[in-house]
Amino acid sequence: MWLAALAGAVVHLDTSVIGQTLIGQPIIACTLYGWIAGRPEVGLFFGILFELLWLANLQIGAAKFAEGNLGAIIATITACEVAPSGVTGEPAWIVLLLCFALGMIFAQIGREISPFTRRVMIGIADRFVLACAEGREMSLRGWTLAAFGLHAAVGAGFVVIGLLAGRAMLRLYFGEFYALGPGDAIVNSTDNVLSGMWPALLGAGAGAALLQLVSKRDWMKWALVAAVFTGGALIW
Amino acid sequence: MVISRIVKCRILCRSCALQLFLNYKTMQGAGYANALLPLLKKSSSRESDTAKAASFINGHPVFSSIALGAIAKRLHDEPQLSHDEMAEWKRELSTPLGAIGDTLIWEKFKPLLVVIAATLLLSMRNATATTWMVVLLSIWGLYNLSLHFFRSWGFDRGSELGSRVMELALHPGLTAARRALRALALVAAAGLVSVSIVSMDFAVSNLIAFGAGFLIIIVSRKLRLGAFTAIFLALAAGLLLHYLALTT
Repeated sequence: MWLAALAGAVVHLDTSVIGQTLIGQPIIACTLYGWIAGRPEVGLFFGILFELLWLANLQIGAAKFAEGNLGAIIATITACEVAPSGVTGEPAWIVLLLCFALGMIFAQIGREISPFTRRVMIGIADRFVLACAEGREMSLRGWTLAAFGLHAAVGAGFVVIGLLAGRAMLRLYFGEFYALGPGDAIVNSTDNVLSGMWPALLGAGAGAALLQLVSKRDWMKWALVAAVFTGGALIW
Repeated sequence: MVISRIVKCRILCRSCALQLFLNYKTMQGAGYANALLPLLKKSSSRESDTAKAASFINGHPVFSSIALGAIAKRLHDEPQLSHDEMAEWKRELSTPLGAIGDTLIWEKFKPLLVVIAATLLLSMRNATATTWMVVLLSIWGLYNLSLHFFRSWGFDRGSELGSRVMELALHPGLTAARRALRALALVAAAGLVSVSIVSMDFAVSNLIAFGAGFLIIIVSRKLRLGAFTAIFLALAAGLLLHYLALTT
C-alpha cells in the first residue's frame, strides 16, 4: 500500500505541480511501477494505452481536466496485485479490462481534484506571500511544506482510494481469492472475447495521436508516410 | 542588472515549483514570488517587491522563465513602478506566455516525445524490461535537457529585455520550431500506426479491431463526443468486431 501511495503522490506532483518532468506520464510511471512490482508487461500495457488515449488531455490554465495519469497508475497498481492467469501465463484479459475501466472511471472522478486544491491553495498562497513580504523564514518554509503536503496527500489518498475500490471490485468478481488470479473457467470463457481489447484501444490511441499531432491539412501526407512505413516493414 | 550564476540557478530550480501554489485568485503569482525569493531577500523594498512579484500571472511553466527574467529586471531597474502597473503588464504577458508555451510544448513537443517512446516500446515488445527502461530514460532525459536549456535561455533573454520581453513572441526561432515539430509529429504519428499494425502480425481480427478503434476516435472528435464516451465506444466496437472476426 505504501508503494501505491508513494506512486500516487509522485504522479500527482509531477503531473501539474512540481517539475512536470514526464515521470508522472503513464508511459513512464506505469512502466516504472510495473518494473518495480515485478510485472513490467502489465505496466507497459497500461502505460502505452493510457498515454495515447489521454494525449489530448491537456492541463492548461484554470481548466478542469481528467486525472488520466492518476487513473493509469490506479489501473496498473490494481492489475499488478492479481497473479497471471494459470492458463496462459499472461495477465487474464478480464483482469486488464476491469482495471482499465477502473482507471477510466477514477480519471473522470479526478476532475474535481484540481478545483479542490486550487480553492484550498488560495489561503495557503496568501499566507506564503505575507510571510515572504515580512521575511519570516520559518513561516515561509512551513507554508511551502503545507502546499507540498496538500498536493502529495491528495495524490496519495486518491490512488489509495482507487486501489481499495479496485480490490473490492475484483473481489466481488473473482471471489475471496482474487489475488491468486481468475480461475481456469473464467479465463477460458472470457479470454477469447476480450482479447480484442488491446488492438481496439491501441487503434483508439493511434487515432488520438493523429488528432493531436497532425493537422487536418497534413492527413494525406500522414497516410502516405504510414503506408510507406507499413509497406517497408511488410517487405522487410 | 547582473544576476550571478548561482542566483540564476537557484531561481530556475525554484521555478520548477512554479505551480506549487497555483490557485484561482492569483494563479501562478505566489509561485513567482517563491521562484524570485533569492532576489526578494536582497531587495531593499522587500514588501512592495514581493507584492508585485506575487500578483496575478498565468503562463506555461517552461516559458515562465522568460517572464521571471523580465520581472527580475523590472523590479531591479524600475523601483518607481507601481503595483498596478506591474500587475497590468503581467496580465498582458500571461496571454502570449500561455498560448505559445501551450501550443509548442503541451500540444506538440510532449505528445511527440511520448508517441516516439510508445512507438519504440511497441517495436521492442520482446526486449527485456531493462531495455524498456533505458528507452524511457533516454526520452525523459531528452525532454528535460531541452526544456532546461530553454529555461536558461529564456531567463537570460527576459532579464535582458525587461518590459520589452513580448518582442520574443516574434522570434524567428518559434516559426522554425513549429515547422520542425509539425514535420516530426507527422512522421511519429505515421510510425506509431505502422508499428502497431506490424506488432499485430497482420492478423485480420486484430486489424479489424484496430481500425474500429481508430475510426471511432476520429469520428467522435467530429461529433464532439467526450473522451470518456469515445474511448468506451471504441473499446466496445473493437471487442465486438474482433469477436465476430474470430468466430466467423
